[in-house]
Amino acid sequence: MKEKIISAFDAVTADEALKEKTKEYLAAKRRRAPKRRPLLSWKNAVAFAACLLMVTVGATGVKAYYTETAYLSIDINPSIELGINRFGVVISQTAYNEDAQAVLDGLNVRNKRYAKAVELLLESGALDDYLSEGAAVDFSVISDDAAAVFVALQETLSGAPYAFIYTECTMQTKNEAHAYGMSFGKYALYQELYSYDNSITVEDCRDMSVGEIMRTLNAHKKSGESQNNGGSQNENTGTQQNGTLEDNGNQNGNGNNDNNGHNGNKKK
Amino acid sequence: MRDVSETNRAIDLYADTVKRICFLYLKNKEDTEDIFQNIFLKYMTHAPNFKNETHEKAWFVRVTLNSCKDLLKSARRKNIPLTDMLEAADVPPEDTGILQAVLELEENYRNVVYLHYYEGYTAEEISKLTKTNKNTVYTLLARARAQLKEKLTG
Repeated sequence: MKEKIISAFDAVTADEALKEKTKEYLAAKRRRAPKRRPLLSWKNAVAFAACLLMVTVGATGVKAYYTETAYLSIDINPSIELGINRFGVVISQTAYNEDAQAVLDGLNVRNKRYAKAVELLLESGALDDYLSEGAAVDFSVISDDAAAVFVALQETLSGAPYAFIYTECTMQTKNEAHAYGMSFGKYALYQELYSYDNSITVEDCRDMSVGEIMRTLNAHKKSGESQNNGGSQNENTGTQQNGTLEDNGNQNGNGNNDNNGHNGNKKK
Repeated sequence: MRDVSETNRAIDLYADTVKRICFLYLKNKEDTEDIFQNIFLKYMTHAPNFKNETHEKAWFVRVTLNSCKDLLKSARRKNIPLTDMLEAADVPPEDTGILQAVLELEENYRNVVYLHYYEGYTAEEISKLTKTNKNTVYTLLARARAQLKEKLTG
């Protein structure tokens, strides 16, 4: 019976006309079918890639903006540190004593270029009480290009009636200073003072204004006395002192004028 | 969507199978044409990717069986006499007897006879294709065989 069934059904076949008609039918359906759009057309793909690029660049830019690459410590008696990004913009401001806190409570210099930020700080009036005769302002910088920072600050502050001290510092100085709860600019001055007088302590320095420290330093330099055996100066700091200090009667004992007209004892 | 060469290959390969299943169910040429077109359109547009030809053929068998059943359920169909169908299918006279006997069986019996004797599927395979219990397939086969014998010898 199986053979009979197979033989009988073998005879039932699709004729060529039916096959051709079906093929034609499918061809017609294929022509009318909407072309399937790719998931992303090339235009959308380009737009998508551009968006992705923008997001990536944007994210990288945002990260770069909020990454500190340089630090500026401004010390008079108030001690303020500014964190600066690679674009020269201040992204953080920190007070290291109560006087500084009082100044920063009323002044926000974030998102300003650092030279503008310094200008705003000095011209705000908040520091006027500390900028009396005999005052000195210390600018300590940690940067791959500290010289450029000094130049920019000198341009901004030219003609101001108080003494400026420019000091280049290292991250090590900054870390040590913060361990004492002190700005790295003032700590660098303490280190320099300590190199002349090893009886001086961080606590002594903490309450001294920059003007007082500078006068003490100059007195040591003038007398040529060193209470420190060997009188070696600290290796972590170097300072450039603006001639304005001399103009105000606080003469720097070094007396060697550099090309910018500053008394220089900057050590590298 | 499958391309032209792929659908043409499928038509050349499975047209006879589709036609035979249509022959089991449908009593006129137009319905067969409709089913043909629908099955291969479905293949062109929606069929899954097949592991091999056996898998592909089983898809055609199952989809054709279901399409024929759906078509019969969907509306009153214009039926033509069985003898005219056999003539229209160009079946040689010596084969018309057994074909007529198969076509006169009830639908379930027709299916299992064709799938088992002609396509060579086992009871287990038929149960999967038709979503029928395997023991039911055995029963259907036994009864179909008995009825065929009776028709052919009677």
